[in-house]
Amino acid sequence: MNELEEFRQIYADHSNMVYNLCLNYLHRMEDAEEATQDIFVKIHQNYARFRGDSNLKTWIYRITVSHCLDILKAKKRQKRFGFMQSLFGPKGEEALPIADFNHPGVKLEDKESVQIIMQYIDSLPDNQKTAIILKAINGLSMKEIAEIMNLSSKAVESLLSRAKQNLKSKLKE
Amino acid sequence: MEENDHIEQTLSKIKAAEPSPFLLTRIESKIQAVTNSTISIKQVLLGSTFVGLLIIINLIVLNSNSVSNSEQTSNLLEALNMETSNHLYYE
Repeated sequence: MNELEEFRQIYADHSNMVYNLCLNYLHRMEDAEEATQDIFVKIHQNYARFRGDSNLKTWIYRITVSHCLDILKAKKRQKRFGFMQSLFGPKGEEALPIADFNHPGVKLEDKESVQIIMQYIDSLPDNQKTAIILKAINGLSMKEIAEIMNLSSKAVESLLSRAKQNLKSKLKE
Repeated sequence: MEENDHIEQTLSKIKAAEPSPFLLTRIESKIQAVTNSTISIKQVLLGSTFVGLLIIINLIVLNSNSVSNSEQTSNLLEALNMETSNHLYYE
């Protein structure tokens, strides 16, 4: 199998997983597609350096999680900058519009309730957010999540427990 | 407990979606664009060797010019019997 065929096989095996994980972090089809493209370019560039310390699926999950968290951090920075501009600069719109929830895996009638929970998940610290997305939405096992996040299973359990506590208190507000 | 159920129930409504069928084509185009814009180490070495040679040649030429110029000047001055100092009047 040559390099191109190998890459296409990797894409065929993992594109759904990558795309859906991006959707769960970014909530918009367009952003998830853009992120998926960038992630597979990274996979292509770094595949030669993949030593097989973890399995391929875990490695790809890690790249995806890391890339999505970077995008979210960049968006937060832009929002902060936009807010400062509106304070000190000429009156205008925010640097970034409020994110439109456009998840193709959510039916229209469920959109509102899912959007609210996803907004609360968005406000969690990165570790808790990742743990709950991988467990509650992607349906991974504790062991798989621990491998991806490079933590012990106990640490993942603790993260999940804190994430659920935080979500419960936000729902009560 | 109720909130936990509510969270899990709501999140279970999120189903997997299929990416666009053209995504692979777009990815391969992006990879091609990145590959084309990347300069190889060979090209960098070649470029820097060329620039280095250019600088060395320039220095050699400048150096030889300044040496031959000063020699020519002093020969000319001798032949014309010209004063090389700035003193206008002999003491």
